[in-house]
This record gives sequence, C-alpha cells and structure tokens, in this order.
Amino acid sequence: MRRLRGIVRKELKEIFANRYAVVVSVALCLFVGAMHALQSAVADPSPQPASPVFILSTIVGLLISYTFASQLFYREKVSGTIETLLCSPISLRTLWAGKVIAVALPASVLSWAASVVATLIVSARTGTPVIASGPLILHVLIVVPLFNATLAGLLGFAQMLLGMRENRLIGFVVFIPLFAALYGIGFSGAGRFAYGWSSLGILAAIAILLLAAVGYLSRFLSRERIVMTLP
Amino acid sequence: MASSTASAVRPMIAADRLSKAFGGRMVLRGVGFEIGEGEVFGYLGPNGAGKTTTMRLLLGLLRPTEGTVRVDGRDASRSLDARRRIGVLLESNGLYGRLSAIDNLSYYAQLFEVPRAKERVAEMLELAGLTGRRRDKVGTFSLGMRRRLALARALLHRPAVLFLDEPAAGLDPEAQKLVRDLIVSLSSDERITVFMNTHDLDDVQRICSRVAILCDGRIRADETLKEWNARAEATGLVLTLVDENDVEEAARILENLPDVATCEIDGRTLAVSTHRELPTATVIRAFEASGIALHEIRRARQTLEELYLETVREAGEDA
Repeated sequence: MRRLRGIVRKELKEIFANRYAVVVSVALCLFVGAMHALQSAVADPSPQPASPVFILSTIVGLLISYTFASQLFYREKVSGTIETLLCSPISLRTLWAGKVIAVALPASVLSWAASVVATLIVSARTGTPVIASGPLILHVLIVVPLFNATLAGLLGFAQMLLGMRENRLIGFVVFIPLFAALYGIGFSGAGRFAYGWSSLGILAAIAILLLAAVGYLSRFLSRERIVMTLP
Repeated sequence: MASSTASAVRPMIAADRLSKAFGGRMVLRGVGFEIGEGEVFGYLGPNGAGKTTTMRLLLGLLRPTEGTVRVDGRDASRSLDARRRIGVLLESNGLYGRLSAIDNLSYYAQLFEVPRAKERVAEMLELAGLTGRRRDKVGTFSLGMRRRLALARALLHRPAVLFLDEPAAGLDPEAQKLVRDLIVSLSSDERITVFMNTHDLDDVQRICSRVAILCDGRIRADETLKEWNARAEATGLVLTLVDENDVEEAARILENLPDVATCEIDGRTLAVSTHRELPTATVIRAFEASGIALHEIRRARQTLEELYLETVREAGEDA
C-alpha cells in the first residue's frame, strides 16, 4: 500500500510539473463547461437542469483522463524510464493501478469544476438557481471518477502493451472519434433527460463492471511485452 | 578459447545455457556463466552481439527461450525479493526530467522501502555531488550530472548486485575516475557483485576482475583479467631482419610454426601474434636453419583492445 501511495504521489507530481498541460486542461474544461452550458440554455430556455451537468462532467472527465493517461503511460515508455522502473520490486498491477488513480483524481476534480461552472452559468441564464439532484451529485462524485479510472486503465493497458505506432493510431482512430460522438450526443436531444436513481444505478453498475474488466485485463501485462515495445 | 570460469565464491549471478529467440531469430545461444560475490564482470561485445538482451534476461525483463537465470539464487522475473537486491543503471538513465533530483531519489526510496529514507537520499545526493542542486529539475542537468544521479539511485537501497550499462558514458574524465573508484570500492569493501556491459576497454582494464566477450550471441571468451593479462604478455613477437629481402621467406617460416595466428610485414619488421607463448629460441633456430639474419627479436605485449578485436575477428570467421 505504501508503494501504491508512493506511485500515486509521484505521478501527481509529474502531472502538475507539466504546467502547460495543467493550464490547458483547466482552461479547456472551464471553456467547454461554459460553452456547453450557454449552448444548452440557448437551445432550450427551460432545460432539464440535469442535462448539461450530466453530459459535461462525463465528457470533461474522460477528455482529461485521456490527456493525463497519455502523459503518464505513454511518456514513461517514450522516455525509457519504465525499463528502470520495471527492475524495482513493484508488481506491474501496482504500477498500473498507481497511475490509474493518479489520472482519475485530477480528472475528476476538473470535471467537478466544469460541472460547477456549467451549473452557475445555467442558473444565471435561466434566472433560476439550479439545484442539483441527489442522483446527479452522486453521478459527478462517484460515477464520473469510475469512468475516468476505467478510461485511464484501458488506455494505460493499451499504451503499455502496444508499440508506439499502434498507440498513436489508437488516439486518432478510437478515442478522438469517441469524444466527438459523446459530445455530439451531449448536444443532441439524446442527452436531455431527467437523471434519476435508476439512471444512476445503471451507469454506476456499468462503470464498476467496466473498471473490473479493465482491472482483470491488467493481469495480462507483461514486462517482456513492455520492454519489447519500447521505442 | 571460450571457457566458463566457475567462481570459487558464492555465485550471485548464474546463467545456465541461456538462449533467447525473437520471432525465430536466435539472439543468444547457450550463454552460461557464474559470477561470484564481489566480482566485477565486464561483458564486452560488438553492437548487436546480445549484451543488452543478456542483461534484460538477468534483470527479469525478458523470459529466456531456453535455460535459466538466477540472481542471488532467485529468478528476478518472478521474485520481488530478487529485485530488491538489484541495483540498475541502464543506458537511458531512467530519471524523470520534470522532477527534482531529490524527488527522483525519494520515489525509488519508497519503491524499495529504504529505511531512514531521508538520510539515505541526502547521503546519495552527496555521493553524486548534487546536494546543491537537489531541488532542481533533472531536465536542467548536464549529461554527466544525470549519470551520477542515476548511479546514486542504483545504489540507494544498498543492492547486493549491480547491473551497469556503460556506466561512465557521457562523463568527463574526473567523473569517470570517480565512478571507476566507486565501483572498485563497492566491489572490494562492500562485496557488491557488478555486471557491466561496456565498450570501454579502458574501464574494463581498470575495474573488472573478469571479462567475457560475446559475439553473435555466444560467449567467445570468459577469463579473469589476470588470465587476459597473461595472454596479452604471451602472445606477441616483433622481429626485425637485417635484410629486407628476407621478409617474405621469414613470414612463410613463421606462418608454418605452430600457434602462430597472424604475421604482418612492415618493411623489414614482422609483427607476429600467437595463440599461446612462442619461445624466441624456436624462431631463432628456424631462421638460422634458413640462413635469415635477425637484427632484433622482442616480445610485444598485446593490448586488451587487440585481444578483443582478435576474438571478434575469429568469431566472425567461425560464423
């Protein structure tokens, strides 16, 4: 457990040491939050208050997770630091888990920030203070971090296992279209619905199942495969 | 010439009939050695010979296709305990450029659960000569500073076995001497076993107690430095003739003598290399019988570089 804490702490330091990435991420999530909220309020003067926050917190969390996971997993391979790290007495799963937690924490905080911004803007635009429902608050606090961890875990698994070219392809072919699709759904009517306890339960179950599946996948990480795919 | 020198002391690193293939291409073929406690083992070989693959197998980063590897009696690919006893300095220093020197060392102190970590980190920064720069980002360091810091990280947890890949690469002469002296003292005073991949024959001569040469995935030579030096003393003769017209005949006579490896002509001088000691009396008698007058005959000490090149050349001919 001490080692896991050590990995998380070090990875967080690495994330925050890259000031450019942090500033861009914060600016991006605030900008997207504001734009999304404004767009929602314009499109429908009396929107379901849940819609912008629900879509936004999820998309921002995933987007930031994608950015930070690339920083922590991909860069460790590109710089070659992972080879020395693999010689230390930590299991691959501990290393993977430490990085996943380190990605999910700031990504979740930023998605919370974006949600707050969006809520404030929607409240200001509609003239009615938006009070988030219990399921929505739990969605932002629990489901979003779980999805963030799932994406970070899946991406980390792929980046550790695959070569550099395949990793670049994954970014372009899988994740960027995925974000575009999610965002499109968010802007379309499909994202506007009352977020209740059943929605929360379904999404939480999906998130937990996905995270468990990705955790299971991490068993198949191998030192040899990682070393053989170093640039 | 290849021989596996079994150590009299407890083997800290043992490779037995180690082979590794990548997609059907054999990179290592039946490599075997035992390295005893406190030995400094220099692992030489041309680029692509399989040195890095051997080191990765020993470190448990790769699984052997055939054969076994033991570090301090355990398989490093499976045992976390074995990895606790290993210190590593690879070609890429493995340092985090965005973190400070102290953060880099503290991270590894946590991973290795180093007792009294703060004091040990400070001690290692002192050893690397980086106490004054401990809070600076490693990305701002020179190549030499990074190498010193990486070596300090490798020693942080007091390993029993140290794996070094070109440890003095990128260092200025003063720092190179520092690193060499450090390795020698670690081996002699603390009985740390050192496995060193290198191309630097000067390093090998100064610090290694044993040298192996790997060519084309096979060990072609494995001898203690004393044995190398004895061979270097024994295997060379330089002859100067009175008459330059006799050189062709003299070369023919020499090449027909047993154990003569090569004979090179330069004016009226012949440089002879032999597989083992060739008595000067044998040469003198052979020349007298053919009526060739000798001006001078002396032993020529081969450098380790010459011995290395000869071994590599022979390996190429075998292949």
